Amino acid sequence: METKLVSLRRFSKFMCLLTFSLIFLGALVKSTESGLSVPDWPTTYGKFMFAFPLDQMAGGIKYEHTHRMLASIVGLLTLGLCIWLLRSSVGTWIKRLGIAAFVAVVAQGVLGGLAVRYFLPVWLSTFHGVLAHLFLIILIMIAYGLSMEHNHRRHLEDAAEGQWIKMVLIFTGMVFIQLILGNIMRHTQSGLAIPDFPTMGGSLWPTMDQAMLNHINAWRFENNMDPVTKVQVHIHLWHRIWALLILLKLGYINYLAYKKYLNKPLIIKTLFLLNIAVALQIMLGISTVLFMKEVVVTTCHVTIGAFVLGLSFLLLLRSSPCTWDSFKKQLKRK
Amino acid sequence: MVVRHSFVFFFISLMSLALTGYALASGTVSGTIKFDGKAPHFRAIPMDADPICLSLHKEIVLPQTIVLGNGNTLGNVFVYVKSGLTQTDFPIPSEPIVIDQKGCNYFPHVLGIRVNQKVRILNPDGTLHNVHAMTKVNEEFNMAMPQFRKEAEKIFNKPEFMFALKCDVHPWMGAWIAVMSHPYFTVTQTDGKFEIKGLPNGTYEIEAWHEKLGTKTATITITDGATQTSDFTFAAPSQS
Ligand SMILES: [Cu+2]
Repeated sequence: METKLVSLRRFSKFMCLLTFSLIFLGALVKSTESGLSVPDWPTTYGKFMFAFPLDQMAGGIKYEHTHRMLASIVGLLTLGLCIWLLRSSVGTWIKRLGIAAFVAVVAQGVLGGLAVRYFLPVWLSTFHGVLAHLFLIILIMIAYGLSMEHNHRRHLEDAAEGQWIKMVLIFTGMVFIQLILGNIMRHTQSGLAIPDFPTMGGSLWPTMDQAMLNHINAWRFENNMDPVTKVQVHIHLWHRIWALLILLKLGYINYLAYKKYLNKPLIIKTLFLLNIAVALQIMLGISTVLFMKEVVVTTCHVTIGAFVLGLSFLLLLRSSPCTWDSFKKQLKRK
Repeated sequence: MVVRHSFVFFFISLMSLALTGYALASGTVSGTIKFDGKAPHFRAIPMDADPICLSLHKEIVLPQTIVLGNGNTLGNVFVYVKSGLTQTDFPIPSEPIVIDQKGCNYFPHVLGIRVNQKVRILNPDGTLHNVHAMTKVNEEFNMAMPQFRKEAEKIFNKPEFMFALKCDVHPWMGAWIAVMSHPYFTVTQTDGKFEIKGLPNGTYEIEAWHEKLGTKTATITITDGATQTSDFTFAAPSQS
């Protein structure tokens, strides 16, 4: 029984890693604009996906086709995880999460397929990008629920105070909103709607008027890009503003941790990693603009975004009590 | 004999007079299109994404968006009669329009086709393309053209002004298509010159369209089948 649980535990962590790779590949598909390089779905150029000859994976096909193949593997493995969880002796809520993960992965696959069939409408592609992160969160929750750490913590009363949990919860929500903003920005082609940093449209303070738009579009013309609208500039601006707010919030969380939780290594360790991830993420975001959406930089920016979300969520899990009821109680307590 | 000859002569004279008269009544609008400003900074297209495409070019390939000739004349501008035509029904040409995907690029880059005219899409490269028509009015399609499929045929059955044709395997491949209900349109070459012939007397709105520089219009009046000149200058977007 125990050995089985050990394998399940490892498998759930492996699934998290695999999902990160899948997000990386999905981001690569968007960065290279090759989402429609395979025009049919679920077949690939009329062939069963895994029968498509690898030497024909030219241009955008290598990204899109690899993404599809890995996605199918993740889908199958998620089904495996779900069945495994249902047949194991784990708690009901983890079993439910297993079912949720499977539903999410199927929905994600169908969304991806529909996006191809309907020629990538903005909202569908955006939703596909957002659901990927929800799926990741479910997997992290499963992996944490199965972990030794969680098992160990169940017998301790080591949860942080309600105020801290609330703070981390809000932070995680803010990161999630940022991922939605980023997704909208990507799929509305607004990634370079403000093409300069630290200036914005030529001045330090974005005036958001016609002059700023003209300045941006003149730059875009010089670099052989299509003109943007004010809406695109707004979407882009909000991604930057929100990043700044996240950074401020993280600063406050660090301050709070320094004051109260230096004695909790689990929280400090996770927060440390989160700080590094956020710093890296901001640098990558700036680089995405400065290197004009260079494929690798942009793709890493999306992937590290998923890491930031994952780490914030892990911090939340590690700060919270181990059951839902005590979690709610803890939040209410001052 | 003589009588018959003179009759034939008279008849031919009459016919040619009528034909000349007809020809006189149809005018021409012509002009030159220029670009004012600094051309964009183009980076070479990274064709190494597909070794077959890469092998087809010895030199670097640049985007076809701003194509300039001597004296800043502008190519790839679509010029057409936007309004003023009284005739609504025109015979559909039986000749198909050809779009070639040679060297992993579309030729021509900007083109006009007629409603219900056949469009032949060629794939001479021996690589895999997909032809994605990003239409709004006509039915959108994303058609696979594997290496063995050398040719495909498509028809657009509704007028639609300008949609992009894309290949998502090779993201740099792009063309612009206008589906026209009449034959009065043309596309400039690098010399920037255009000529639209056979216009009946009347007043017309002429529009010049460029994918990055937008549109310019002019109103012209054709009388007695004369030629009207209408030059256009497109300015690069300015910082102010
Ligand atoms: Cu192609």
